[in-house]
Amino acid sequence: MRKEIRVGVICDPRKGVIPVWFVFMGEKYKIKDITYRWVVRKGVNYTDHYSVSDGENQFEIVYDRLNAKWMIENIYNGYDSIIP
Amino acid sequence: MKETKRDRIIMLVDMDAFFASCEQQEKPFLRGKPIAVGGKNIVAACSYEAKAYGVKSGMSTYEALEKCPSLIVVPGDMEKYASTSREIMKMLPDYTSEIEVFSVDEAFLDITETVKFWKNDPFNLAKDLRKRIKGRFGLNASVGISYNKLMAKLASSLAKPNGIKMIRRNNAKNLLENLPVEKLSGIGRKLKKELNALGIVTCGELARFPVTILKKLFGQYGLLLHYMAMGEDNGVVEEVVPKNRSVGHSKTIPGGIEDRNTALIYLFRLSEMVGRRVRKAGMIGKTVSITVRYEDFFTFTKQMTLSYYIESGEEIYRVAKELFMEAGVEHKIRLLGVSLSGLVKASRQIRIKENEKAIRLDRAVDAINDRYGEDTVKRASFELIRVPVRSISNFEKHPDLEL
Repeated sequence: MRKEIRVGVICDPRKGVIPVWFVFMGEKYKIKDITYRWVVRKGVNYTDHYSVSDGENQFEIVYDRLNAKWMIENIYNGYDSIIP
Repeated sequence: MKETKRDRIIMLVDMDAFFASCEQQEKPFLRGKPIAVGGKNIVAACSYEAKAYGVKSGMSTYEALEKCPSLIVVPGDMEKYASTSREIMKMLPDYTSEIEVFSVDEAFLDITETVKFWKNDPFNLAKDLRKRIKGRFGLNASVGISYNKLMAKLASSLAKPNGIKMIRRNNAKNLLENLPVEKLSGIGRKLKKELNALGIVTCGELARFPVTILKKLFGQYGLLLHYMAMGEDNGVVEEVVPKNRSVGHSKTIPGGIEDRNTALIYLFRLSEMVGRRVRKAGMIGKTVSITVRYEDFFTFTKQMTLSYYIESGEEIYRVAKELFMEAGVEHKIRLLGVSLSGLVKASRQIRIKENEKAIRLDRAVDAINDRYGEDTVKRASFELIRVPVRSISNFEKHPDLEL
């Protein structure tokens, strides 16, 4: 899944870009915890991946640097959702 | 008065269950659970919770699930692990400029000159680094500290999980005396079996075993084994050249092959090609990998990192052959590949004296081939002798063996 989303961020000079909320399917989710972040390079483009939690669900949101777009990549409802 | 040479202080930072920990950190609902990173066939890595059930890396997923029915198998994401690894490695220059990234989750640091900034106590430096890694990524790292790389590696394995261990030269002998040989980096399952067959079970026994016999049995590596058992390692911490980190060749075999000897011929030729390219680039490497692809496109890679550097096709082949035999290939092979990585510039290497003859021979062969064309002079091997002569002399022309 890769759906475009709106994201509110804080640009911190030390910590970089910190997403604080996002809107997905008309609903606003407040980010309570960023559990992990990593960068993926594909050709000339870089995508910043954030694993975030709203306290109930776990999401993976992605910032596409080249196209300046935020997307939602995964929603995890528990470990059943990640078994291939 | 003769000045005594001060021991170096070498540190190995080794991430604990790295792939599995990254997944547990990213997905908090996996924390504290037995998880394995891998696919439907093989477990690439597993969490400590899974290890408690007897699950190991390299095990088939089926076997792992038999051992631990509650095991959660998570698909691996190398990009994610590599990205985290890069970020961790970026922290290391804050501690020393002498860094050798050993693998995606391990790095050697020579902190001899910089430990003074941590009150001359390597533990302080190690604690600081571990704290930063934990704070930034939530990941645990174990640290081994000693007077050379071999012993630092041993110390880190003893420090796991999530600890710091230091082995000083004056307590190394006692530690090694009863240590099983397979605990030393560079002694795998096969070599352990061979040593055990000689009645050598501990490092103490290996150190006392006659060097002449070890050399006879294992060649140059026999001498190295002797020194390793005494806790000696002359390898220096050196930066791996970032560009051209590996040199490799692979060959798709039309129609596939089932015969082991034919496969070994391919490995031999590929190893020679890799060796030639590595020497041309003025490099030497220490990690040999083989890639095997079956007819059904199932592909696997096996690799071995040596405790010393190599550049000759013969040495690359020796390791590639061992990996191939260990893999126990049973199906028809469609592709074979050999590569050498962990490359550094050849001039920076401290060579073992006895190697010089082989190196000079390679250089002479290279000079002839440079002048008169590839394969004017080439090496033979025992495997080549066992197959029909036509295949040896016409390797390039033989339709099935053309590379």
